Amino acid sequence: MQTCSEVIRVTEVSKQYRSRTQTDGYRGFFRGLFNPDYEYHQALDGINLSLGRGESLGFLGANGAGKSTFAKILCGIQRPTTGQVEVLGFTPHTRSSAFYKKIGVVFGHKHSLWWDLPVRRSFDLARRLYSIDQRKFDRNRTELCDALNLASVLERPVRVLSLGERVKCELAMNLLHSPEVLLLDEPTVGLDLSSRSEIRQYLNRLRSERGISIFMTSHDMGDIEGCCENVLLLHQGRIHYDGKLSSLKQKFRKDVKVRMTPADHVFDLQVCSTLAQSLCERGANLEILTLSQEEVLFKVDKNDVNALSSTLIGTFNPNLEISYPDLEEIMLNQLTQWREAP
Amino acid sequence: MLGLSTRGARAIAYGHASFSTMVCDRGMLVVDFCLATTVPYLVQLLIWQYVYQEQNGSDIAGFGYHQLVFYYAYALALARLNNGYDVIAQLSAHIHEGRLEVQLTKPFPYPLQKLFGFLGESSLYFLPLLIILLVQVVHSGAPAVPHNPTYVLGMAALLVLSQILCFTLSFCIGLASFWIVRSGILLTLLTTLSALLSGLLLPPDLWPSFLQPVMAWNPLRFMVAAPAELMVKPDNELLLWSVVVSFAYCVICASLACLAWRKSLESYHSVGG
Repeated sequence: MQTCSEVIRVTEVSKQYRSRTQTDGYRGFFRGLFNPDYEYHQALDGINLSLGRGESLGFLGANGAGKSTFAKILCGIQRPTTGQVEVLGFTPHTRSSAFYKKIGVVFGHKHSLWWDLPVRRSFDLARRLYSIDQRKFDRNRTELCDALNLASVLERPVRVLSLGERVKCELAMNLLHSPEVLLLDEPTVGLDLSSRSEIRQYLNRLRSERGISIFMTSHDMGDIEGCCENVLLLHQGRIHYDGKLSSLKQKFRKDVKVRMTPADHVFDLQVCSTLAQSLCERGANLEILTLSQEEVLFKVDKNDVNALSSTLIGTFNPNLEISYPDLEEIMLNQLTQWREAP
Repeated sequence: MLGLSTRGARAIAYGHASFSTMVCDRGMLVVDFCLATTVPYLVQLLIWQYVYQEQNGSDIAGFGYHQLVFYYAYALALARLNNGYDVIAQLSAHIHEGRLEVQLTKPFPYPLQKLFGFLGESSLYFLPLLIILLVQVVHSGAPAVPHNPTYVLGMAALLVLSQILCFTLSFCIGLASFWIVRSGILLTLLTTLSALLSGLLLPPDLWPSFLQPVMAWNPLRFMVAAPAELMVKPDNELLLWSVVVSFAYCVICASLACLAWRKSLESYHSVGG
């Protein structure tokens, strides 16, 4: 049962694909014509999630993790093999017009703009398509053009626009009807820094002012950090983390970098090495990345930061700079770890 | 009622956008109107002029020289009007490039988007038909379509049905793109079938007698040969029969297209972004 404030509810959703296996040789070819062999691929496995009104959720994972498949299930393009999906009380794969009038869908690398016509014409078509009242349409269009800096491209044919301009126009077109839920699949792909920033700012504004709910998949950690409070980490079709973005950083942050620079005199390198070795022998997990008389850089497990810091202060009384990895680094480490030991 | 008017507005919007897309491509218009239509017509004109001279002007399979000249003019214009090439090409591109997905998330079913887009694009090709009709009216050698309003309405219905038939048939063929890798073969299939069976190369009456049943009953005939024939040789009975059979074919093809569309989407596993 979907609660009033819940806009997306997903229960035990799995998706399995089958594809024909390619067989070599003429015999395999002819056998495949009449009795093909299939191999099955589990794209999603037991996914549960919910998204409330005005909330934002980022979907993270490596290529092939199942992010886009899940986005397509949410917007009704694909049907889950098992499980239930409800978006705004609709079952997406029934593809009702009423459902699509309430959501906005943007695939960053695909667009539905009219290629040979000015952008304005695509927007006009959207007005008819979503039965948008003329005044509301004018207001929304002006607001979107201002926020995404699109006023100058309205009269230009889509085919002459840059990739970034096209992506922004596609986003604007899908926001003209003021959707209640926005499903974004890599919405900032190919955009420059200022365009990304414009989009993130506008999405946040929509969320705070209109209570729009946002579901986003992206490989750009800036998008996730800039727009999403909650994240869901997917690996091989299964959820490995579901919670606040800040908690994700805590959970998957393993290594911390500690930079030591001398306060008054240069370091004795021999002492530094011995000290690191003795800490390791006592069970600390650390590694020296840079070793010079002017700077020593340690990579240390987050649980051993205190032990290392107090030892260094007690021995050298140096200047210490502790830096925590950003989301991109955390994700890179985690994905590398999964790839090496799946 | 509101639902109908909303759907109508969406349909018109798609038709209008498609029409505008056609109009803005001036190069294509020049090639399509001036070369792709005029040159084959001139070739036919020269061939049949020679044939009729050899026959001392007597009728061939019930066609006088002027009738055949106008038949080819209409057949060429109708073949361009009822051309499903773009329907198949666009559908294949949308499926293979994954662009179908963005279209599926619109509050207007994809097949209807394509239907009204097709009608919008095709509307431009009514112009050559009107020009030929005008020439036929002022030309004394060939009888024009009767001024009887029932006949005119019947012809209008047949033309609309021929458009719908062309779309549904092409859409059915295009849906095969869900299962095949190279869609070029579908376009070749359409082009070949149209050339052979529609009556574009030869009026059905000129084909050998053992092929007559195929030429009389195949659906492509009702897109090109039947309306062309009825424009140059008005026949109330043939018109009624053509309208009824065209309607039946439209229902069959539309049902097939709906079934195939549902089946296609069930097996549509466009994974990845």
